[in-house]
Amino acid sequence: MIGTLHVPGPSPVHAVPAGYKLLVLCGLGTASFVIADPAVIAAGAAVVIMLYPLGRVPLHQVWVQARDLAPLLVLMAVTQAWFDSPLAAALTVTRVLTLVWAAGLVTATTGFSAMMAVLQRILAPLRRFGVRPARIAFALTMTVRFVPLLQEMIQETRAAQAARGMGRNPLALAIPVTIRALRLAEGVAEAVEARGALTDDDDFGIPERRHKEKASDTDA
Amino acid sequence: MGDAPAIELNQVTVRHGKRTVLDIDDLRLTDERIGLIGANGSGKSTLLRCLNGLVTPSSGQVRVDGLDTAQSIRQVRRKVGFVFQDPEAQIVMPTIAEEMDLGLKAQRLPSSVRRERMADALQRFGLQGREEDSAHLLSGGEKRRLTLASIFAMHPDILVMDEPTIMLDLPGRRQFRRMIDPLPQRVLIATHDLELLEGFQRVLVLDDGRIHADGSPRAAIEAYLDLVDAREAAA
Amino acid sequence: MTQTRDLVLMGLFAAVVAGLGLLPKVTLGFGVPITAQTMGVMLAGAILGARRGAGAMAIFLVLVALGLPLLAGGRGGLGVFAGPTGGFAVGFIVGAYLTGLLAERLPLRMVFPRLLIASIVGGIGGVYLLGIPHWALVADTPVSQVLLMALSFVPGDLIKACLAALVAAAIHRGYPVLQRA
Repeated sequence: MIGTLHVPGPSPVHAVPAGYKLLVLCGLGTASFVIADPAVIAAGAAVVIMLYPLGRVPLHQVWVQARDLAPLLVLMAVTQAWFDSPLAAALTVTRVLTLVWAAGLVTATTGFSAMMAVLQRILAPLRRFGVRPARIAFALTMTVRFVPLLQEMIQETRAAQAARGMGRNPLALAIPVTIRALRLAEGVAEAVEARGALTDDDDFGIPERRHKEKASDTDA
Repeated sequence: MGDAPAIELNQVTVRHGKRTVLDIDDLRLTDERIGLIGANGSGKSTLLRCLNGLVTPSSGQVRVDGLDTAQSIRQVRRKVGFVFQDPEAQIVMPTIAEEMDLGLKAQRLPSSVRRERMADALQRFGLQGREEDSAHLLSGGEKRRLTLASIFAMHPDILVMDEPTIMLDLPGRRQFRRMIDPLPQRVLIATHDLELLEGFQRVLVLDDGRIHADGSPRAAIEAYLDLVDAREAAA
Repeated sequence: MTQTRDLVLMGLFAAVVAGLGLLPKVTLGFGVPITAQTMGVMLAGAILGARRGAGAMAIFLVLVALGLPLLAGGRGGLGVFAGPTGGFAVGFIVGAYLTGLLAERLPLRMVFPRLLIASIVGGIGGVYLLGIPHWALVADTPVSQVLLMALSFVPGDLIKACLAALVAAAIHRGYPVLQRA
């Protein structure tokens, strides 16, 4: 099953609306490229880390994220120190870590549906270019639906192959699983279609503001 | 009961490339419980899909309550609810409530009506109080009931089901039968489960896209058995 | 029908990429991880075509951005895009689009070579097209240096391209989706 990186609230950090958190994150990203002083950025990183306990996110997460990035950071730092200067290396490493920690905090303190709502708001102006937020939300739901199903299919197919004495041939697994999944997708599309769902897009999933140009919404 | 709109097929053919998968001259269905039997590939599923506009005939017309399925897809889909063979493919949304809501929202019903219909349908199919449960972690029988409830809640006039019992065990089949019997809608079921047809008013036997026999369950099943025997003898 | 079907197919291939991320990742000697995920990029393009393939990748990335741990090694959230490999992730969209475009248009009769070229050019070239500059920018390293480091990924990528092309070719024979785009 799919988990999330979300940590349940409530906390002052959870309480900040998702849109603002994303704005601050964008601002931080820009600022970190303008500021060329590793000490300032490190101070920023310290602030971000202090927000973790405030948002009830275990400090352990700070370590986990840094550990995951460690090999890449080392590689980057070494090449930078070699070709440029140790200062540049320090700048890069602090910058990346600060941004990753800040983004991690936003992700941990913002629920999936709140993020989805921000996404729909961001996408809403794109309606006039034919982007339909509700359809995107539908496709996202489909993915969340398919991940566990695919895992199930892989297990079943692997068992069937093993029963026939076929070893770990990746093609003998990938091809039947893909075909089964495509057939299932076909069935799902048919079932959605049969209910007449998704022919108009604006009332699927998360409620969004009604749009006026309904007359121009024809079904392809 | 009994006033569900009629289904009419007129000179209908469905072709996939050169192959004709359905060829029906004239058929009018007004009975309350109608069965559809025949070998795999005999055209059962295609016929059912014609009734909901999922398949458009290559020639001829399919009418539900006088509406041409090729022209008035939206109204036709409101009248004809479709229950699919594999609940896994039919259940789309993560929770029971969201799955129920998918079809109801498509009908643009106000939320008070949606809630009422949802509660009523879940009650009828024994899933009351489980709105927030994951739709994908249900047992096979429960998934089947959820698919029935989600279609029933849309209040169609006609229920079309494509091999609805194929994934069910014996207790599941019996339970299915008990739930179908009191439904006020006209019900059309394509099935290999010949026991299910007991008490139906009319059963059609399809063979190679054509209607081979049409009558009471007993007569139709006999005709089907004879057909299979004859095929085996010829082979 | 097409609209709903396309959406479901895009959702499916986003899930395929997510599923491939669950396979154990191999880490090369000096810390560069090789994941099976870019194979999903190639498959999406080669099986669904350019538009739907790119759409599938966009859906995948939106889910990652929304906080689902779908990238290889259970990574997810906005931090991914801030990190040095963020460009590779966004490159999935370009990669699938290019793969699809070539799979649709390359004037080659034989299916396998066509899909193989599409997977190599799109799935490797397209992904690197964004990934390398982004890495260079974040790490403040000259592009040429990053390019040199990226070379170490290429042998693994070629194996993935072969596998993707074999699978996609089999799908096109057994269950064609591309033609019905």
